[in-house]
Amino acid sequence: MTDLRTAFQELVERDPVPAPPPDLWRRGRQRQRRGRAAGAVGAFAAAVVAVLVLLSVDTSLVSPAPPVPADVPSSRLHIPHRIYLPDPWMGDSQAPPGPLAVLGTADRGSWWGSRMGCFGVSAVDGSYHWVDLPRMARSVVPVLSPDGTRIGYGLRGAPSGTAYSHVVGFAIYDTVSGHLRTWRIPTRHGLQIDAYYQEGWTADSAWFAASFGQWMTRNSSNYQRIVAFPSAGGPARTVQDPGSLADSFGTAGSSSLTWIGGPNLKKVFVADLGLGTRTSFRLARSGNGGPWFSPNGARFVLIAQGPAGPNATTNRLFVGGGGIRPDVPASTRLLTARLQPSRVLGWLDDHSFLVDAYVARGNGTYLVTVDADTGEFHRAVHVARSRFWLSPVQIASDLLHHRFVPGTPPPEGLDPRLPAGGAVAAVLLLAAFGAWFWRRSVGT
Amino acid sequence: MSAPESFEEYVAARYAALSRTAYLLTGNHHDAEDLVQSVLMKAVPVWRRIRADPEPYVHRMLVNENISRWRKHRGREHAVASVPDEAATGSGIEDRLDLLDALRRLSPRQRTVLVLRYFEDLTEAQTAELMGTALGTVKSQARDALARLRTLAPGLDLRVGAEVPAGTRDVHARLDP
Repeated sequence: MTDLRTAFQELVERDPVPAPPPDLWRRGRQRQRRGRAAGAVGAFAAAVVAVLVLLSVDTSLVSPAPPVPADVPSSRLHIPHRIYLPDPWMGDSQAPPGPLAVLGTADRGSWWGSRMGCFGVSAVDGSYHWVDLPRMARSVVPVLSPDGTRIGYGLRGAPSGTAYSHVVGFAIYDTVSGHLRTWRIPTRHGLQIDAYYQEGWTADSAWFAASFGQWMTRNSSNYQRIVAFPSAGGPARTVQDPGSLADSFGTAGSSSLTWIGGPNLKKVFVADLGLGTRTSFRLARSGNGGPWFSPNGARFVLIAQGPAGPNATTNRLFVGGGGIRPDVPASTRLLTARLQPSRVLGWLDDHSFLVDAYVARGNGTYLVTVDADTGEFHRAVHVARSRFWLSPVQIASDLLHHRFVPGTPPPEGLDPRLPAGGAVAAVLLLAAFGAWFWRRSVGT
Repeated sequence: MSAPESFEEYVAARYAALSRTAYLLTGNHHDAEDLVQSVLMKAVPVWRRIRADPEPYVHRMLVNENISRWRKHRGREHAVASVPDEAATGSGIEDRLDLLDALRRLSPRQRTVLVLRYFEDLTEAQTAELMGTALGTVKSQARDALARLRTLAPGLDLRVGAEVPAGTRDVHARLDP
């Protein structure tokens, strides 16, 4: 019988043990240095990632935007006298912004530069918010509904065939609930939206309408058609099949959309999307936009080229109405030759309306109120200039019935690249100091 | 054992003993040498702290490192029925090869318990502390390991001597809590 201890001894003493390698200490030191270097690199990388994640994922940590009351009586909603451009690094909030008085576009900061961002001005307290519109096609101007609670915009995506445009549908974003409704239009090459494109809302904010064509080849498209999208959800409705259209929709009544079309752009169409009816009447002159009917429906204003003369091709404001008959072209009169309007934003009452008319002053333009009887106008809202072509701001036209209020400047933002750069520099400095201290303490 | 003056002195004094223990733990000279050198290199960064009494740290590292390596390479380790590179030329040699083969077939923890108990002459309590496990676990693993060893190598007819009291060797006393 063998004792296990003896067996173990015999086993290990059978073969001679080699001499220890002479460089174990040096190899141990090398291993220690490698481990420390790897640890330092890992800690540095983790710190950099943590700083970047902290500052990029949620810039609201830098300057959180306060939540906006969602349920405020309409009478307490107002449009500010002055609309500022938000700081590119203004804080961001994931919450819906609530009812908006203004929708605009401005530079929005990102880690690699800046990009176009949509901002909204709260109708409740005048605060500024970035509005993130999912899959927004940047070539289509987002449009604010008259009540300020919805935004209609073009949807970006991939068409089924070769893409000549990446606009593949439309969407309505609810600024109070954050709910999004989308309508994708079957398209092989993308929707053509850059020629005679129109979009707008009915006065009751129930329908968002857009006109668009289909690209047929890289350089040609078919005629525009008008399609309306219900903000309450449901199928889109074709309002007019392909035909010639003027530049911008107008409004009439609560659920009607108007536009100018037909030969020589002398025919006004009025489609009541609530009732599903459509009427038309003729104009004595060609129109380029509108018409926009007053709240009582007694008259309308439209944009058309001015009377013959050196500025005959310049857009002017014309007013008409009073006894429109289907068999007699409606006459209009030039309201004022001192304004060059691009669009009518809405009526304040039955006697005055708000116009975007390139009344520039300083680093911005004015929206002006125009007297529909005399043509006199007054500067009403100052809009800071944005560098984007689609800079004209959108106004919640329902709020034009209320008084304007002083604007509140948006908060200053902090470029997170500055503290991030500082943090990285600090970590680098710390790592360098640590390496120096370690080498000094370890020696060689 | 008095405290070594330097790392090199400790290595010179203990390298052979550590290599023998490692040989029993790993089952072959190559892995044993690799294990001992790895453990000694890991002792370098903490040498200033352990130089007064390096043995407990190095022994613990030897055991833990061996089990860690086994876990890392468990998919690659497999028991062999015989040792092909060893020539059996006599009955004593055959017995030793049988023992080595049987040791290799034990689990690393069982092997470790047997080596610490019957080669390093540690008590069950010292073995448990060094392995970071419960005393009962050491007892059961030692019992199972011996039973399995007798099954795997029936020709050895092993017997186990009386338990060595704590303090028999320097290392034992130092491993006591």
